[in-house]
Amino acid sequence: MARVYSDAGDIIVEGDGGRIVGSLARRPAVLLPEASWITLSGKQIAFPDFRKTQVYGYNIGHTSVPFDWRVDACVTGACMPWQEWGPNGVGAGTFTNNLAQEVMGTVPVGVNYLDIRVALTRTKNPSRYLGSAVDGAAGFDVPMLLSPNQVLAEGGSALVEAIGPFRRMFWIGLVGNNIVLRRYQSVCEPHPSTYPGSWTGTAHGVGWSHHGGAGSDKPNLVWEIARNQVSDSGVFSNTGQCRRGGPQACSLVDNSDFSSTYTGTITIRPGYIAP
Amino acid sequence: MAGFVEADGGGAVLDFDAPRNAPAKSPGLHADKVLWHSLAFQYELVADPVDVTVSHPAMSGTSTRLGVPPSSLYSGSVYIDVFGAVGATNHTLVTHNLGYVPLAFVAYQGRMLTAGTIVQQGGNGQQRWVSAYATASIIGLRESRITSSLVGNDTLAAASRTYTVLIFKETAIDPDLPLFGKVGGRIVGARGRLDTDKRYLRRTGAGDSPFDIDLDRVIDLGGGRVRVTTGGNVVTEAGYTGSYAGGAFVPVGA
Repeated sequence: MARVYSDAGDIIVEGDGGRIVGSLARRPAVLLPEASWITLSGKQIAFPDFRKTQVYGYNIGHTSVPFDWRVDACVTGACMPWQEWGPNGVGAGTFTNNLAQEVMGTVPVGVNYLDIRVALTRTKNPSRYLGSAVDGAAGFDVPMLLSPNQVLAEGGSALVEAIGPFRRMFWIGLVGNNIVLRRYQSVCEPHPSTYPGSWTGTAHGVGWSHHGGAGSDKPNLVWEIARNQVSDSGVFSNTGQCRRGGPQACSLVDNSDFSSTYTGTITIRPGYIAP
Repeated sequence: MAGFVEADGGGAVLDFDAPRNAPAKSPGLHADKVLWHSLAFQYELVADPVDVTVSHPAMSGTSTRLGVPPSSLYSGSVYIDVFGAVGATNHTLVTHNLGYVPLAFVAYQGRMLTAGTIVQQGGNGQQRWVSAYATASIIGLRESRITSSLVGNDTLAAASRTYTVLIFKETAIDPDLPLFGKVGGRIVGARGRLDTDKRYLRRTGAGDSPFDIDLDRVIDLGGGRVRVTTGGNVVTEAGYTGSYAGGAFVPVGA
């Protein structure tokens, strides 16, 4: 038989069989009435493109058997150096690039919990990492949120992209009585095996050299811009064809765009859970 | 109908407009004083929590070559290999067929999943993340996985993980039930919106099995890598350079 009773200062609601339904010490989680919910339709969460540099790779090949054969080859790529993006000036952390915080609404005093559900579709895709379109290969980009389904952003947090060297997330949470949106994106330092070991500045010779950024920037290659290969049987007649500035040089114009945008509905239900 | 801690300001107990009764009259303005309210959403469970074991597949590593590859004829090549594979699989955890998209939680090792919870890591950068989602018919799990994204061609091993699913309902009012009273062996309030035969998400006490629910941010980035802190449990991707320790969380049960 269900009952309500007092025990050691607690008021307990007990169900049939003795199961505790709730009490002052075991307070139920409460979401405020629907009139207090915030539904943002057509909401966009946008992540800008990263800071990028370019890399130029150039090589000469030669064989004399069975006859002289000469090859010039180049490749250019877009690179992401280490970088941290987030809301400078609010909360903890300092970032190399600012992503401004957005105030999405307010809640009454006393609210300490937000139940946040997102139903988002990626309406602007980033360029494919490494340009690959092969399922399962390194470049295949897998959105982490299954659009357009309702996803729980527990703690207001959602990791939305984890691709090669970069990660992206957003957080929707309480700062005082404000509901804020903060976006973060971050690029790692490259592992030594993923960038050319010897830099030659902006030199035009054989090897890898950078274009844009600082010479100290270590590149995560994320996109192949162009490649070229020129060969003939003349003895060194094509020298320098594919090097920087040569007639068959690879382009350094970065045509990648790793920005992304998520669009959809965000439902925020303010509430209180006794800490 | 409401159960609440009185607000300041006094007034007659039976006066609905008295300041002391403000949490009942205006629950939205007194969230921290409301224990239960017939207009609030009380996280009433559709059924008891369900444990579901998911078999996560293995994934082989691979590499992608940028540039002009080497040839057997001559040495004029210029290229670089980048390692790593990416994949995703969707799993159905529970078929509920409620006909509407319910609020639900999915817990893993006693803490609620966030979108991007790490449930498996390899020794060389392999990673498996999961996110829970809901439709009008199922509660699902979306997994995203990578092999070593930067340093080698290692395989992400298959794994088995058990998740606990909690689904909550939009409680209906039954006009045949009393505003407050006993119905058989149970106590009913607000014509069924409170029912001692039902289970509601609540703060845990002694003897309860908790699921930690978070009140603050649970993911952080640093150095291009992720840290997840659900329920105060810190799981860090190799290479993370931040120092986020996580935020407040509360153990809840039903």
